Amino acid sequence: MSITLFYQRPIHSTLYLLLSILFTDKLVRYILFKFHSYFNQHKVNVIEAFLMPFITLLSSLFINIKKHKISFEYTLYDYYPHLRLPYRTYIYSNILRFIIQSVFLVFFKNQLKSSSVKEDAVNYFYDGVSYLLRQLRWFDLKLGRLLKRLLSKNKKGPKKSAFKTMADARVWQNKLVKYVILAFILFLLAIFITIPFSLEAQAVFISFILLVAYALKRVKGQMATIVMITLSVTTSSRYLWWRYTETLNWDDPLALALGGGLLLAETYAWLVLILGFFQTINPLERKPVPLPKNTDLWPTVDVYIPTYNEPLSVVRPTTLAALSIDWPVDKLNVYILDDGKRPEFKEFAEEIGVGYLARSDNNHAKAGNMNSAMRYTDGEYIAIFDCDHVPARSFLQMTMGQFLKDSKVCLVQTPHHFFSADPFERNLNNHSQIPNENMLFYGLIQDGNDMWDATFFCGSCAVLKRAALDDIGGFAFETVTEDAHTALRMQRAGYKTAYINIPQAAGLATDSLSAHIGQRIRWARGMAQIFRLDNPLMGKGLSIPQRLCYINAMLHFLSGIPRIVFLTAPLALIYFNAYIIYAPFLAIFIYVVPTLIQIKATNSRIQGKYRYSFWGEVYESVLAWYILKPTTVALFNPNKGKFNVTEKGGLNDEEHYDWGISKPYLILLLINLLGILVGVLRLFLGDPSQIGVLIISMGWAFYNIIILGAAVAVAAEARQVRHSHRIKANFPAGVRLANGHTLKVKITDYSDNGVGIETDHAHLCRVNDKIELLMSRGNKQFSFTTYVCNTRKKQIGLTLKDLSLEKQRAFIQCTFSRADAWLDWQNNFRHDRPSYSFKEVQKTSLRGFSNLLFHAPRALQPVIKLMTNIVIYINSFTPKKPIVHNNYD
Amino acid sequence: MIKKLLNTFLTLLLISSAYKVLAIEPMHDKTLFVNGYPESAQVSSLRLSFEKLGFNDYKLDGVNNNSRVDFTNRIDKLSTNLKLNFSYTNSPSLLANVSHLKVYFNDNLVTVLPINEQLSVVKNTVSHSLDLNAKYIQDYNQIRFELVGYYDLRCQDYFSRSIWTEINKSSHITLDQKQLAIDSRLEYLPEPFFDAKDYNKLNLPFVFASTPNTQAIEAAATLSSWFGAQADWRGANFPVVLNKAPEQHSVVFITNDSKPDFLKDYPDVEKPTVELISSPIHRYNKILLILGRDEKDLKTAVTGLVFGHKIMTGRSASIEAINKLPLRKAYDAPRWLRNDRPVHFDELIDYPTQLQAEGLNNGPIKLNIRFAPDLFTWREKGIPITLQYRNTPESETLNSRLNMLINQEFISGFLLDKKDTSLTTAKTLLPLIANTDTTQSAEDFSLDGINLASRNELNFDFRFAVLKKGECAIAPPGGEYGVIDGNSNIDVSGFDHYIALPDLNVFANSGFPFTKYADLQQTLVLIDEVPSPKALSVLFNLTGHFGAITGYPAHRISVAHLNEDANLDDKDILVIAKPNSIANNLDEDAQTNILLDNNQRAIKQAIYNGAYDEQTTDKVQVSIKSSGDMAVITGFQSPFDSERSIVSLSATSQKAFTLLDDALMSSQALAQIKGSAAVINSQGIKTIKTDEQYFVGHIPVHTLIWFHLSDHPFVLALLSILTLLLISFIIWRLLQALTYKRLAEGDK
Repeated sequence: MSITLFYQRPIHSTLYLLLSILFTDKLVRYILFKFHSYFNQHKVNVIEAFLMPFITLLSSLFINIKKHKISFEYTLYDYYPHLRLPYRTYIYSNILRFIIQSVFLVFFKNQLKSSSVKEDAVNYFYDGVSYLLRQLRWFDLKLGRLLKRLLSKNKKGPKKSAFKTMADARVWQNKLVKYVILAFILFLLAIFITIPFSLEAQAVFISFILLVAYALKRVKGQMATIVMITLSVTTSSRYLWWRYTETLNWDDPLALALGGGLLLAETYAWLVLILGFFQTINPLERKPVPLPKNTDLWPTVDVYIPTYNEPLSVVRPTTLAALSIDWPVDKLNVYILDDGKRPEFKEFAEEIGVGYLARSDNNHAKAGNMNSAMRYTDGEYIAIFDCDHVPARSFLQMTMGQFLKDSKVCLVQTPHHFFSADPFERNLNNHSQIPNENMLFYGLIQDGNDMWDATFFCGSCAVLKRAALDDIGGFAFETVTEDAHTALRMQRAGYKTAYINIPQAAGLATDSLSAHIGQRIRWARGMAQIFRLDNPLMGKGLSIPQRLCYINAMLHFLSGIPRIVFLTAPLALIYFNAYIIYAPFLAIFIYVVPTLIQIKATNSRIQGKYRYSFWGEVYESVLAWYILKPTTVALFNPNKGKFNVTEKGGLNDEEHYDWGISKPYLILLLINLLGILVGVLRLFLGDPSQIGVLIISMGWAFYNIIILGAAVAVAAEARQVRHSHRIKANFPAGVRLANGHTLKVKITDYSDNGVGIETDHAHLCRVNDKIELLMSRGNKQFSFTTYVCNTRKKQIGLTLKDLSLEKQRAFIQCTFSRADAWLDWQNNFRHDRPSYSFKEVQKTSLRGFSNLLFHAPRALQPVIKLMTNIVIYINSFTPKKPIVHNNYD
Repeated sequence: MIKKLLNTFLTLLLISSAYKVLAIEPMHDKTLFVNGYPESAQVSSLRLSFEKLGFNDYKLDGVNNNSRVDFTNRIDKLSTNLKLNFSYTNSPSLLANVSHLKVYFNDNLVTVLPINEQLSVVKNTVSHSLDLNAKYIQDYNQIRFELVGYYDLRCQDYFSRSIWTEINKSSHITLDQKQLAIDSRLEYLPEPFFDAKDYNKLNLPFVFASTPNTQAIEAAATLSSWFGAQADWRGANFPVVLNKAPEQHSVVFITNDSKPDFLKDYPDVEKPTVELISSPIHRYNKILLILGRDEKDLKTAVTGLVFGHKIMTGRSASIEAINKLPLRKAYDAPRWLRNDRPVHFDELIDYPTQLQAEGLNNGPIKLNIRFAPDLFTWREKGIPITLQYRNTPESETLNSRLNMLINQEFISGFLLDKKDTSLTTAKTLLPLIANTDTTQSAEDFSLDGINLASRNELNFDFRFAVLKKGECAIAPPGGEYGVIDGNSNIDVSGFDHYIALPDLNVFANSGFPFTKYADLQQTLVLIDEVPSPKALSVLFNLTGHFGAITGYPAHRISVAHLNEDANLDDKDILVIAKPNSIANNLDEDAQTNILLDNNQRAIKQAIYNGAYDEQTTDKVQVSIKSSGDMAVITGFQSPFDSERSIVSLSATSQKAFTLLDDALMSSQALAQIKGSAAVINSQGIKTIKTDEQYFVGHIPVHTLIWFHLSDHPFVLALLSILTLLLISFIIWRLLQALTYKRLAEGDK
């Protein structure tokens, strides 16, 4: 209104003149129109509504609004998307947003080719950086190619014969020459590890090594892996040497105590790293040995299915599958070893014709159960399946060859495969996207162990030689991990073990996080017990590589304390001002960061398919607190603790948050968050000379927070509704419809009482239709009567009802125990990319935090709401990417 | 004919009369001299300014109201006519009736001077000339001024800045000194030749009948190093005189075959003998006679003297036998900090109360420390000191402090907050100069620590605070004591010995590498066939300097002529000769940077300072023809033994030798001698740096490798990558073989 007045009644004639030049009628009309539209239609407050047209006009001086012939407003909102609702009414804060976004638009390249003026200096800088990157990439490429050429030349080609003549030379037979060379190499290594450098020299040294390691990343082949390992071993040892010799502050007792703790934890990590390298440097990838044609030569095998409290529905498929294993019927005996002494099990066993063994006491749990069973059976070999592990029919074909080839082999182990998601996967919702916790062990470590004849028994999915067991007096029952201990004993007795890295059975993963943790606690305790009672470093009968592999397995379970130390270490400086790494900021930076990068890169290369970077830390962090106590107790008092059965096949009816389990992590999270706050305060108010170390500590604490966030995310238990786990599949079958048509279909998933199929045509049937399902096993054809339970375009869900035992068995044979059922389990995953993996961990961590807020107690909700609003508000100021319209009409 | 005869006769007469004058026979009846010599003694008038006497406290105030000036009196001097000339200015606010200045001489109140109230303009100072009673003169004398100053009778703050009196800097003492005839008794030794009460440089001529041979030089060098050790910081000068009686106390070396003319008839000796006589020419002066049948005896006599002078009495002593004289071990010089164990401060003190500080304005406790100059301090944070101290308890918590300084540089401070007098223990480190590259001068580095090459002064300064209460503060209580416990220790036992040479700085200030063995057992001095007295003097001054450094006589020094066939292996060689003779003998292999052949000179200088690039051998080389006096000190690796060094001192002329001598005698000049070569001319010292280093000493193999490789990260990185590639290749091959073996395992 004021404008009209101002316009109509000029105060002064010259001013009137001036204004009339500036403000033409058209312009004033435009402004008024805009004002009205902003004020009335868009509900913008008076001042903004008044200013908006002017801002628009001013902007039009710089931005060609007319160019795309669309309204300026849209363009504005494309460039400034967050100025739209709900913030468009906040004029003052919008000015700040506008400025920030403008700066962002000017200085950063955006997809919308903004016509905003770019300064030459900025351009030069950008070009310089990208040029540098290009150069670096070029150099890297060249170096990579060079290395590739060099290494592949070594691999094969004309040089091989020269190498062979050299390798066969008599000189190498001379022990003295060998030792001299070894001593010389060790001496050189010792120099590289121990030589003290000035900071600049260290920077040069480490960057040189890092450059080579980085270039090696692209080179395929084991040789490059070994080079990366040796480089990592050198730099990490160098780091540790530096930590021991130069970074302990002997004058400050608190810092010395805390720093000593950290140093011990680092030493542990280093030891595990080196041993891990040793273990996994050369996975054996053993192929199954074919059995002789003459089945008379095949030995007799007993299949043990120990059970204690699992329902029959879990044991049934396993038993049926065990019966279907391809092996001469007269040489295969299946036994259910029921420690629960349940009549229905006995009935079931009699019904399908397998042995049922129960004993009067329950001494020594699973080991005792199997030992007592051994008294009543007489097979030459014993195959053991946990009651939920459904064996494939090819199981014995794959494994028995080893025994026949080498009479010293006492154990052939196959991987454990779980068709249901473990609690990590389920709660993080990343089943079959990210390799699960098990995969590293069964995919890589056991295979690596096999190289050193150190594969150990994992309690299930394995065949053992009865004679070997008799030699050591049956299964070891002194510890709660009878499996590893038994293997250790057999190896002490001079027997060999083998690992076939082909999944030949699949089972259920643990249902809940608490159960999962309970299982890990048992393993950790058991390993600690073995460590005390039958330390693999001591005693007779083991080779050095075997000892190293075993000790690494034990050490792995002692990771509780070091992990907790790493999760709290940066706080020592922030809270107590204790210099746990007593070195200047730059030294810490130059020593720690490159070493970590290199170790990560090397591990990523070795474990890439089986464990993604950073996930190991998440898994470890979840378990750390819980295995800390049992392992410590077991170390001091190995006889304490009893066997607890891992619960499986249960359900989580409701989505719930396991506060109890996540409590330690919440506390760790809280002190880390507080640490960051204190750190920020100290950054501004504290001693400026500490800024460097503070930033490093805060960075570390921040990393810990991310890891802890992901750990917390695990604790939010997802619902598990389906009673039977659906297993993804992809094999052909047929259906016969009620009208007699037979169609080819594809089986997409199955469970123990249902099948999902995909047809070529949609809408073939309705719910509750009766359909014959035709499946084949080898040359045999089976038909099953099923009912349609749901249809969705081409997808049809079928339910099996009231199958006879014979049919059940056939169904299991056609599904779970198909020889190729689990073959593709390891091939689904891409090789690890650390940056991508870290992003995933970050995402998971964020989910963890939002879960936490979502599940927070009601009393805290208002505070959380407020905090959330603050975060959202602050976030509204950050620059946004301009919206891109693909087609302007 | 007659003329000829007359000439002959006259000549004979002249010679015989000359003999009569010079060859005075020893007198057997000396009762004549009971009351002194017939001729009167030399009298000298001295004017000793306060500044020269080391007077520091010119200002007196309410708290520090005492000020002392000390002077000493030599044993062979009698002081008379002692006069104190001083002037002072006092604060105009002092009250005349009650304020005064007391003057004490050796704690006898000499006079009380009033504070003149009428002194309104403070321009004029009050001058006084006081006769002090010469009878009170002792060996150590002290004149003390004490101010009794009041500006207010009822309420006085002793810390008030208006209480002051300032003694003028031009104040001085005058006295006459008459030489005393002292008995010829060996028990005086080292007096009267060296008197600890004399703070001047020792000047002691060595007299030989003719140019001495190498053994006589060895004897004289030993003696000079002993006197040098006695003179310590005062410095010592040993001019060499041939066949002439000097007009001061002197040492004369005589063998039965070679006697100076003025002692021509001195009786022969049967054994190495030391005698003390009055100079036959200047009887107030004493002569220390080193006598022997031959030059070898001279050495024995000197050795006997330096080790046995404490049991020598009377006029003469002959050395029967030197039964046992064990070799000194490396680095065990008495004045060096031993490195086989931590050293207690008790072992470092010169007088009992040295570690105690008294009073509010005490001077700092001083400890002089000399380190072995080749301590290997690479990557060491410092030299550990365990400090234990006690102090007078304080009733209030005051900020009294103990500061620790080295060479006037602050190191660390401790708060004295103890309420009792129990020991406080503190551990600290003496920071080291971060200078391992000796080719660079010390100016390139901040001098914030100890310098291994020279004497270091460690100061402990107790600063007692005083609490002021109200306007009229009482006088400070007095009796503030601070004691550094003698059990405090300094520990260099963990250090190895390893040093980059050439480094003339270490040579000039520590005598290294020669002083590594305090008895100079591995030192060979090479001199001209006929060394000039000046060159000999340079040698003796140098050994005197070494003696002051080690505190031990260099009795195992060996001397050889340049063209002699001496065994040059396994010896550190010190060459003092005319330039052309050095050039003839050593030039071929030695890496000298300066060639000097009288007027022909050549200089070879590295383009870069320090070990910039060892591969580059390019050097600036200039040949010059120039006359004039020039002396050169160069250090280089011995061509005869790579673990050994050569330091050569050469001068173009006698005057140049004097320049060289002066440079070696002055501490300022010594500080300037650095690098691999020093050129000394009349205008000063110029140093020449080198890039050719060699290392002497021993460190553990790993340290050796670390030390020499740590500067080459590129080489190491490359080497390590190559090695790791090799190792990886071996591992790879091995794993392949093992895989094959493992998979082939079986019964068949």
